[in-house]
Amino acid sequence: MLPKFRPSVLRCFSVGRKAFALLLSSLLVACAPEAGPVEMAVLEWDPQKGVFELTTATIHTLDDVTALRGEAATLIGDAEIVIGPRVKLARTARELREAVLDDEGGAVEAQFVEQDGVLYPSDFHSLNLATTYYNFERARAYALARGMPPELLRGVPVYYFPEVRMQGIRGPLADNAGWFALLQSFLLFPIDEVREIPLAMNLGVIAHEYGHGLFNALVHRGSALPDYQARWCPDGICRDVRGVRMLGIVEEGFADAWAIGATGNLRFIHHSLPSEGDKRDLEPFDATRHCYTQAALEQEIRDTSRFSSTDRENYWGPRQYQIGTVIAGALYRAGKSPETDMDRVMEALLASYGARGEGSLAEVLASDATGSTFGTFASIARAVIGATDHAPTRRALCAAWMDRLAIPASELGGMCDDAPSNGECLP
Amino acid sequence: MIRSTLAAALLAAPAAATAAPLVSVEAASALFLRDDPQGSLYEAEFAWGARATLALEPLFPLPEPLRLDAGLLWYGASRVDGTDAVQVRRGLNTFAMPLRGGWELAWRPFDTLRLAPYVTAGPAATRTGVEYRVSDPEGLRLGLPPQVQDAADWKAGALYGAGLSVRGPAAALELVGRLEILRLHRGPSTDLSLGAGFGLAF
Repeated sequence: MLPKFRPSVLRCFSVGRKAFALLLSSLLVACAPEAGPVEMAVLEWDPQKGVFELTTATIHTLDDVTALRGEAATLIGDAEIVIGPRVKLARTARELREAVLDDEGGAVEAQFVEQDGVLYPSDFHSLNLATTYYNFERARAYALARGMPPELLRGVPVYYFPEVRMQGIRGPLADNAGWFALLQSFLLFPIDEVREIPLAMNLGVIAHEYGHGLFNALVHRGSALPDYQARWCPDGICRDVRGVRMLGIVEEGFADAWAIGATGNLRFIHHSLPSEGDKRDLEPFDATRHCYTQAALEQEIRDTSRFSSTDRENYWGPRQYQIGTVIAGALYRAGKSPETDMDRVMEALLASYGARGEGSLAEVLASDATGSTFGTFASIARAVIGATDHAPTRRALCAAWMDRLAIPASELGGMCDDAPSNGECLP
Repeated sequence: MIRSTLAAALLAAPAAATAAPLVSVEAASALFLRDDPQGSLYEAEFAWGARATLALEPLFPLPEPLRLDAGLLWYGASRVDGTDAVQVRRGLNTFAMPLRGGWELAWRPFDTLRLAPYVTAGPAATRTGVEYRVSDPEGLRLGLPPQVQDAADWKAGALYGAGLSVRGPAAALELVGRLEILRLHRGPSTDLSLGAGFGLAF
């Protein structure tokens, strides 16, 4: 498909009459939309200054500049999504789509002014849309460089400012971003109270959600309704609730680590959600925020088992992010170790999702009948550590998991017997 | 004697006073239905403007009820959107040269108002100016000033549409007005507008 590039078409109309006549016969060539890289003004984090600024970026993968559609994402506007009881009745992907999408929306139409060969978004939404596409392109490029198969998440739908209504929640959802497995797509919710850097303009936020998309694609094999729920919690009662809790914890922890790997910005949350950022900082080291144990998890599960189901979910909703910070912190610590780096750690993480077959998180999840195996930090650590053959990275991962999550070497299958401990989480 | 002279002068004036005015100036306002970047049907935007027209009937031997004029039209609009940290101000200044052809109706409301439905078309050009203001909360924490940057371009296009003009009783100074619906090029998009104008012809 030829890319649509309206500014260049308009520029063609500004040539003189004679030139226009000469060019008429070759109009298709002269006015053909320009394929290839596009220079565009977007919002981007400047690592030197530590702040977001407007900058000129080259976007490589757009097929349609106005609709912001390309290999990295397909932006969709004006959709209406309802998450209600109809979802439970859906059996196929098509039925799910019909159950969830009240209005499937359509292409967005970003508007630009062109100055010195650079496209400047001419309004706030166009800037938000352009920066969103750029962020998805960068998140995808990072994932490809870490070993993501190219067919994964190609042209993934991104619902921009949809009206989302969820059963049991009053009013449409706002001020968030998410991976939405039911539609195998991303949701960028409308802005309501956020006054800081919009979430869609924050590459860290997009990379975090991309991490969820990768997890779904590889660990859940791209399933809209992963079957672990039916195995672990038949009729809504979980055989071993550790598995469900661990899934939420590792998803959020891995996604935060992925965001930091992709951006190099430890404070990426602070730019958009300052109060949330304080709870999820990976540095400086703080034992209360960065150390945890399997025993503590099981104690919390017991303590909350007496809660009503609503109170229990209200508790674990934010708590899974906090415990996830322990996992993200362990991965980040491993990435700072000598002879390795964050990119190698993220390669191991991605490989642990599914590429390594037996022992991968996908395998652990698929073979776990109750949630009791997946529900231990040791089984998660084994999958991640076992996914790299790079000895320094493996040693660093061993040390970080063992120190931060108090996992004994004996539970790590002989992979970590020589791992150095710094004892930072010891009482 | 003095009174009689003034009366005579005023009585001599009607021929000049009833000659059709050549020029009119109007204040204009319009509601623009603009392509919405988010993909919805449109977003509404209000704009102010001004218009000057020159009657062309004296230059062409047109039948009496026909009306023809050429004009200069300007519309300006500005809006700011975003969060406290990221604000985008867009200013649109559209200039057009509409040619208008109409037909004055025999029916006159209140026996004095002259109505003329018309069609109009012409070239248009728009300067779109954009100003970005970025003040990252982390930058404020670090004591950095907000970043301010702007960009602008001109784009050319056209307008076309239809309307209904109204003129007051024939006089040296006439009240004029109009209601019109236009498809008007306005920089990044071409918008539908519902406009009104009110002014004087002389």
